[in-house]
Amino acid sequence: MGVIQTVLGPIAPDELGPTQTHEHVICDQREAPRSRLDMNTVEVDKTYMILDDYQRQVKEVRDYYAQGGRGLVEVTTSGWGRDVEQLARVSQDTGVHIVACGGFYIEPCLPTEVDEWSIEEITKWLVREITEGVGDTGIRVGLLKSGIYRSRIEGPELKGLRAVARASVKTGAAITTHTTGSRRYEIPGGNMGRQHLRILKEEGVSPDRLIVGHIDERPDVNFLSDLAAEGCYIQFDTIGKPRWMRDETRVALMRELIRRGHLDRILMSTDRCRKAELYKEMGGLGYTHIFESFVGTMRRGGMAQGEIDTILTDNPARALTMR
Amino acid sequence: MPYRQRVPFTLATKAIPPLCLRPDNTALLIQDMQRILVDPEYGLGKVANERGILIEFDPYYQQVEKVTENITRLKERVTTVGMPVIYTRLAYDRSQGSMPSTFQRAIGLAVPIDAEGSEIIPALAPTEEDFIILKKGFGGFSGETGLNKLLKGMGVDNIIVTGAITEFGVRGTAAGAQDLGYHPLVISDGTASMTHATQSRTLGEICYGLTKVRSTGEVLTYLDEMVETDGKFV
Repeated sequence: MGVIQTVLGPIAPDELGPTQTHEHVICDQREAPRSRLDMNTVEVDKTYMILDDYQRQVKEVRDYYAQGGRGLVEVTTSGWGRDVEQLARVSQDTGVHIVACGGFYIEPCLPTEVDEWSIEEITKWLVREITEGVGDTGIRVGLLKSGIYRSRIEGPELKGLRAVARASVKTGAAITTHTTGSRRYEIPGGNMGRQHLRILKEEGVSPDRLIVGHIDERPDVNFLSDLAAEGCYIQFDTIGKPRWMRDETRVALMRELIRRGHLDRILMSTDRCRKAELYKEMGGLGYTHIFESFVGTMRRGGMAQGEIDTILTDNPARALTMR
Repeated sequence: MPYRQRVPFTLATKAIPPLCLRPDNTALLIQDMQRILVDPEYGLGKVANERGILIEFDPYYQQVEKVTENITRLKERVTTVGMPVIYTRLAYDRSQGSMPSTFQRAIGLAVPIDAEGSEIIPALAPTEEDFIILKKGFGGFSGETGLNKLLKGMGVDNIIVTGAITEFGVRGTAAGAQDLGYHPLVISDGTASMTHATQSRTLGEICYGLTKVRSTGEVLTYLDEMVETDGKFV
């Protein structure tokens, strides 16, 4: 039977507990090798993805635990501040199972190795992070990521994706995805799920290894339902971010997906990656919005406790289990 | 309508000059109150419903309901004092050799003039006396709509602007009117926006020293006073 690979070692799927599958705990966009961040802005904490205050992050993750969170997928990748040793310490200090992420974020944050190495070499590197550990830390990642910056998958992002796909085939790790906000209006269906799936199938990846991310930013329920019918996970991961839509609308979409038979494909998260999104004194919602508010929205929207438990606990455990 | 956003720029601009409402220099504009844009069963609402996100538009259709009532009240009153009523419609007329504009194709909501859903909603159905302008872009003046020519021919200076959608077409019409030297008077509860917040924000921005924003009740009072005096300064 497969295990879930956390930063403190493998656990059985039923040990995981309620889990948000797309969060950031330690990240720093300033480390991205290709980005030219303009730090000369008055709103750094609102603009940039920087979570670098270890003690504060421990407090935030403890608050998450106190509200009922037991597992957390940390989707920061190599290239913009992923630090698996700090994540292991956070996990030890808080009791939350943290799954770290291999693979790649969008092109500005791609590590330079993606340019220099062949797909085979990159695949070897990714597989090693899953089977042996990151660098010489011995800390292994538990899933892979593919971030897409534009409205097409091309260039170094495509190269990285093929390596991610091949590493997933070799290890059984799931693949979580990102679509960049400013391009979402240019993508039919509002996310890259269809394009991702096509390339992953070419590489022999089973659709149930694909977690389609950022689906609740420009959704079309028919598009989502088609992806779910293929076996992909549909991840509502900007819950509590009102600029995309009301939480009530997210519940309406979930209910329609459930009505169409896709309860077992739905995942939830809040994608906190900026201090202003996380820290309550800056107007943030912590990692606790789902427990403190959204679960209530789901109940008021007519969802049963069993459905909520499936989405929060059973689905993440199944999605994250290495096949 | 509270304008919650601080806009320091307006602290430095000139005061908006008064405009004088008279029956012969003012027109009521009713923008795009077509089924595809304001009836949840058609167009915008239909697409949203198919995508499973119709409730995202609740604040909009709630506003539309109030706006429809307020436009009805305004139209009744301006008609009795002899002011012209002009409708705009986001539509194209094949019989005139007209094709959908690039904008209309881009948003995917524009339809031919005779297609189902293209018509003005029955509650606001135009009469024989009313004028109808077909438009191809956001604003009432964008492209070659003929609105400017019509208003010039009528000798209109002031345009009472109502309809949908505040932050897109209505805003465009107000800006176009200003550019052409008209005095737009935008009705705060006679225009509908995607959310309550965008309504407040857009109306806050629209008046940057140039456009007046008033409620239906205020304008009805002005029209009464206009009849009693010889024109009402607003």
